[in-house]
Amino acid sequence: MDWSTLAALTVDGLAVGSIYALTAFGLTLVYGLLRVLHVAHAGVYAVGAYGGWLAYTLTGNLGGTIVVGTLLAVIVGVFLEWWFYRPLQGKPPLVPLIGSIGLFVAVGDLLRILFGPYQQSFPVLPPRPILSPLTLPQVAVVGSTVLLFLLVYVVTNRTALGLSWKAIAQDLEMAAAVGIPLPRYTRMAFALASGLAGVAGILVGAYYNQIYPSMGSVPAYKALAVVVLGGLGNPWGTVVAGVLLGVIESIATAFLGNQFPPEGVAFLAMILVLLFRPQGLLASRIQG
Amino acid sequence: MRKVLALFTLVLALALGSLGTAGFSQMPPIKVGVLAPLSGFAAADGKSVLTGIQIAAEEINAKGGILGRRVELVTYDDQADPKQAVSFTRRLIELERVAFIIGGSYSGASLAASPVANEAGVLFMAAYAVHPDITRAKPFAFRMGLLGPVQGRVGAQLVKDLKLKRVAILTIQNDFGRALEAGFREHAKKVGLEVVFAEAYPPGNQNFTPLLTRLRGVAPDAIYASGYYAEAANLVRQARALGLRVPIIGQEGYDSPKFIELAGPAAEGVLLTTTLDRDSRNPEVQGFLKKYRERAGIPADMVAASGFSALKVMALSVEKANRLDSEAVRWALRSLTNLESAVGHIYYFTEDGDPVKTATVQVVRNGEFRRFRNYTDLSLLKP
Repeated sequence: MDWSTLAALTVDGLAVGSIYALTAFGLTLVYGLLRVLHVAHAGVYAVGAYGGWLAYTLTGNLGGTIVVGTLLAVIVGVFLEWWFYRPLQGKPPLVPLIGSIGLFVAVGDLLRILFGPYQQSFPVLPPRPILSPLTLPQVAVVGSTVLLFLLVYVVTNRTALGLSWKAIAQDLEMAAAVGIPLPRYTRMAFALASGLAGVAGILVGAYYNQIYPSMGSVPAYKALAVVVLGGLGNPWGTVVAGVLLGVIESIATAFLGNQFPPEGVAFLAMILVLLFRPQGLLASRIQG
Repeated sequence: MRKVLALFTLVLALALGSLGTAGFSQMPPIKVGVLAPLSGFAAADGKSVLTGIQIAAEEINAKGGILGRRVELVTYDDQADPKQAVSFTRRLIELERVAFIIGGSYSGASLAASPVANEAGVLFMAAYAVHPDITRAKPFAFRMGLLGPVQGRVGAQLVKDLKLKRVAILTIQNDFGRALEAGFREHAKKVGLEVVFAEAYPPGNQNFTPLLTRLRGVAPDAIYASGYYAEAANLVRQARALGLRVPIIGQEGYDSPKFIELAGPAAEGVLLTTTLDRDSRNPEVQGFLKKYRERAGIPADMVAASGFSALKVMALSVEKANRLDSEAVRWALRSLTNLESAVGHIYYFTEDGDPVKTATVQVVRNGEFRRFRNYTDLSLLKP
């Protein structure tokens, strides 16, 4: 294998991994606060993609595309928290989990009924080579992911909101006792998580020039694997795991090809981590 | 009084009923079973094939139906899933009591459905599925489309005719892809092509960059890639983004306006082996293309044309047999020769029920499928 091939594969893996990280980050944030697996998160991701696509087809404006898609995802995510997860607080964790799977299926079917079963084209990022081996979509995806995570880093580490999230994740009752307004702060976590998922949906739709109702299916299960790899409820571990998984998948697909299904990489890694390092790749900072 | 009223209602209902079928005899309609993937990953093809079949049914009914009876379609959505295809085939046969079935689904689902129909002695016509075993050793199973291995051979012949030698193969990992690859490899060997790279990818795959990056390293003269329009669009788009400029040869899975839409400018120049020749002068083809565009608002694809032809050939066979008995219709179908259909000229049907028919190579030019060349060489086209 020569260096240029390896470089091209790494760049591709970084782009795919960025999407995993953006999607899984919200999942792990929500898990850390509410201790539920928000499977419908992948539905929010598809909603974001459709919102962006709709804005793009109607206006052709790139800025509007991102704003509308992200906002729509945030609205749907916060709505789900208020209407679904909040009332189910205190129920055994299986209840919101099963409900969440149902919600995910419902969101996909709703999109199908509204917009048809077809793949729709979303030609925001023409696949132009920029600087070999980089292409425009790759640079756009990795670049926006880095920017977003810088922003997220500031929010989680430099604001009272981020500090409160950590407190809630560590000990919910204690956090409530010291006067942290739980419902409001978990709702804001949902807003951030859903916004990131919405952007991920838009980016993935643009990257492959395809959006379709069931586009959340693969992220739905892969994000779970990423969350486990990163250590349940450990946001930055999830980001590292997502990017790493993207790169490993890309290289494995190129060289193992049909001998090993690429979709299996995530789960093989997840099984290994559960067996030998159940706390996740990076030791969990939040859970201590 | 009540009895009289009931009797009156009954008479009225009968009168209204016969009014509704004016022009047709008092005989009940002929029920035709249709399996199509109307939802799920293959939904676009499902909609196309059903539209094609509906146009055929309207055309047949406008000309007096089959044996003077109206054609009535009974459609089930099998989601291109073999399990669903089996249970819906049973339903069509046992509950709906259909006269015959048009299989408007993919190879996997059709492969599961055709033995069920065959065992029940109900004719099954696969519209466009390519796998050989759908019809093999099943006297009641027929096919309208081009057999996978034959189409693979045509692909290899095309590479040869383009005077290219070193070819890379990318195969979609299912019955469709395997059937195509088998034919391609067999003929490639025969005409002296060199297969320098071969990999498979799972259906629904979106990221082809890893495989294409490695493929680029072996510098082939051409890429033979199977897949459906959604996969194909990504494959072609990413190949061009990586700077791969060699000809890409696809097959009928690419044959959808959605391919051109999703691949965008990268679709230009892509070649595909298929059966719907947009530049054919045949009135059967041109008539269908026009009707489809009027009805669906988009250009027709191979899948729609295959569904259309499948029902028309079945109708023709029933007329020829002059009864609905499966055994008689089967022989009538086998005796058809030199038939002009919307999906090519059919020379005859083989003992296995596969058509020996012409193939066309279409090229994407200015966002449209156009004829590149046609293959009529029987030694290449015979299964």
